[in-house]
Amino acid sequence: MAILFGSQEWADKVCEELNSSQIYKEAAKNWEGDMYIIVEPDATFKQRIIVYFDLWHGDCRSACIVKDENEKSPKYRICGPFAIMKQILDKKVDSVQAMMTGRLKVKGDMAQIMRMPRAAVEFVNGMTTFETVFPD
Amino acid sequence: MVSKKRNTFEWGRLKMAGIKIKQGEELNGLGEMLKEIIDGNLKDPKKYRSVERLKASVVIREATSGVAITLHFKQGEVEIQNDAVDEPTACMEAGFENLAYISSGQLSPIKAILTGKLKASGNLLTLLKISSITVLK
Repeated sequence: MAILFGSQEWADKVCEELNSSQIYKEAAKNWEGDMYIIVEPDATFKQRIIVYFDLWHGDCRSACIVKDENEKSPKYRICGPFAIMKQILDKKVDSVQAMMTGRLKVKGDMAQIMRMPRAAVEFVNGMTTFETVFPD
Repeated sequence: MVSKKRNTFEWGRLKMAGIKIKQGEELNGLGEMLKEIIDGNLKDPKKYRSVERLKASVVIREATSGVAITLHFKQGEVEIQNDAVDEPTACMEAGFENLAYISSGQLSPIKAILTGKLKASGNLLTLLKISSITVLK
């Protein structure tokens, strides 16, 4: 069953997928740091969506939808326009390619990402293992 | 004593330098990642000195996406720009993960070349020299 992007159910499902993935657990075993996925409005979608993930040593401890960006102070922020996020989740665009071109921006401690690039890739993969439906 | 004072002054000046972004450019993702590492390393006078006299342009390319940046070294300044320039002094190319492992110091550039994880061309000595500022140590 497809889950609506940006809903609490969607955030919970990503968390569940990460926690059941041995590949993510192994790749992120030393990962310390929570994260915002920030979906910026664009021509196709006018809302801003912020999803928070508490990631710690290969586990997703919690995930929630955040209304105000100042609500939490995560170590990382992955930001991108809705159209790019949709393409990544639909597996039409590779997340690494989006990061390299700068269409998807990563803010935070780059040193940790450079030490654990697989963790970042597997985190995004965790969002693509189930069917997502997008708001109109 | 005079010389020591001068060195201190120079080091103070260099400490503030950091890497320059080519005027009018917004760096691509690869450039942003490398800039953060290079900025950190340039604060270390010892690392800076290893590239201070270097006159070269080095292209770094992420293999899967084809995204590239060029680092220019001239007159003690380091500048970064998007895309590859024609006829650089040296060029290196690897996938995101291997570039990350090299930049984080988990994979030695020499080992990466020997195992085919990193494709290098041009002046390899230049590539080794710039590793003092492009690799986290």
